[in-house]
Amino acid sequence: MDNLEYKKLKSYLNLRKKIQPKTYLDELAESGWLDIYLSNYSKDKLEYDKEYKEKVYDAMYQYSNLENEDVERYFLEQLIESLSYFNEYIKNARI
Amino acid sequence: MQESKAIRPEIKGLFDTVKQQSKYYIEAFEQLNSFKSEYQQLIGDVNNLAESLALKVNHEIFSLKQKYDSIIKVLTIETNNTLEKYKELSDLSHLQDTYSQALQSINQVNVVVEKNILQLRKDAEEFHRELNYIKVNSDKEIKNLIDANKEYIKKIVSDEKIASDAENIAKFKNLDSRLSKTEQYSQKLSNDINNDIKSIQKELANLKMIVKNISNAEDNAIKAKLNEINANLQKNDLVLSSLNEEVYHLKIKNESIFTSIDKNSPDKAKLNSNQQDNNKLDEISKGSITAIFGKDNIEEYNRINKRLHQNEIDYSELLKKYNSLQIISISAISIAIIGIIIALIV
Repeated sequence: MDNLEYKKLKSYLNLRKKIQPKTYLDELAESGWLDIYLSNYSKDKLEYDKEYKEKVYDAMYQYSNLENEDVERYFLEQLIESLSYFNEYIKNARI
Repeated sequence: MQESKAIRPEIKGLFDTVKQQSKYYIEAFEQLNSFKSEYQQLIGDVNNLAESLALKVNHEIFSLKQKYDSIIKVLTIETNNTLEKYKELSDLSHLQDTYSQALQSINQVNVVVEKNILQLRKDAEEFHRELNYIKVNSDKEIKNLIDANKEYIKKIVSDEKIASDAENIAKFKNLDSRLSKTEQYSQKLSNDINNDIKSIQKELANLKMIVKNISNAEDNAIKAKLNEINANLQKNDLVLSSLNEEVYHLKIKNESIFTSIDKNSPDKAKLNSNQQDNNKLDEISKGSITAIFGKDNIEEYNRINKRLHQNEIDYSELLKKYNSLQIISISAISIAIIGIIIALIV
């Protein structure tokens, strides 16, 4: 994927985010009830279903009005993972 | 886009920093990719160049190898030629040594040959002297021998001549007497034959008369007359045959006389052989019957020869007469037989 294709993909994703409707997770995150929902109804699913987990934390990142350490931890972990991959990627290029 | 309130601003700053750094990294990676592509292109060019260089180097190495091989071959050939030249040089040196040895031996042989030549010249002079001495002596001996042979041959020739003259004279006398006898005998025979011819003519005349009168005569008288005629004719035949035999004997005798005369020629051959052996005898080289027998004997010989020839002519005439008599007698007999047959028929 070259730079142009990457930019096109990014614009398409932004456009999709703009036009897509709010999910129940988005509504629950915006109203501040998502933590309670997760702890009461989908604690196991959040632990084992990565895709669901990604959707939950995206909804909380976009629509939550309160600071949440789990969200920070999740994205920091994602950042660490990406940086680790990056480090591994540029390992051969290091002097 | 609305900013998130779920994350603290410090973390957001961290994220922004990371985001900014990622942008830088993206640019760096883009640049790196461009460098990488250029580098890859360069590597490709370099690889192509390396391949072409490798091909060129391989080609050059191959050509160099070929040149090297050819040079090695040339060097090998030249080395072999050089070795052969060295060998030839060694052979030449050996040949030179042998040539010098041969020269020395030739010089030695020359010395020996010169000595031998001097010795041969001395021997040749001595040989010439001996040869002249022998020649003179041999000439003397040959001259003496020729003189002695001349005398001896003259003596032999004179003795032979005397003996052959006496023998020939005796033979000629004997032949002369025999020829005179044969002439007399032939003359007598010719007279007899003439008489017989006359009697036969008379008989024929009588026969003609008998033929004329045969119709009146008797058979017995005719037969008696014919028997008589026949008897006369047989008698004449006997006479003629005896005459023929005499002439034949006379001819044989003449031939024997000629052959005996010709037998004297070996004396001449003997003389001729002696003459060939001694070329200096000129008087004998003109040898002939005249020289051996003399002129008188030759005349005698010619005379006898003429007489013999005359006898031969007489003999041939007598033979002709005999033939004519035979024809006449046969014709008379035939006429008589015809007359008898006619008489019998009539």
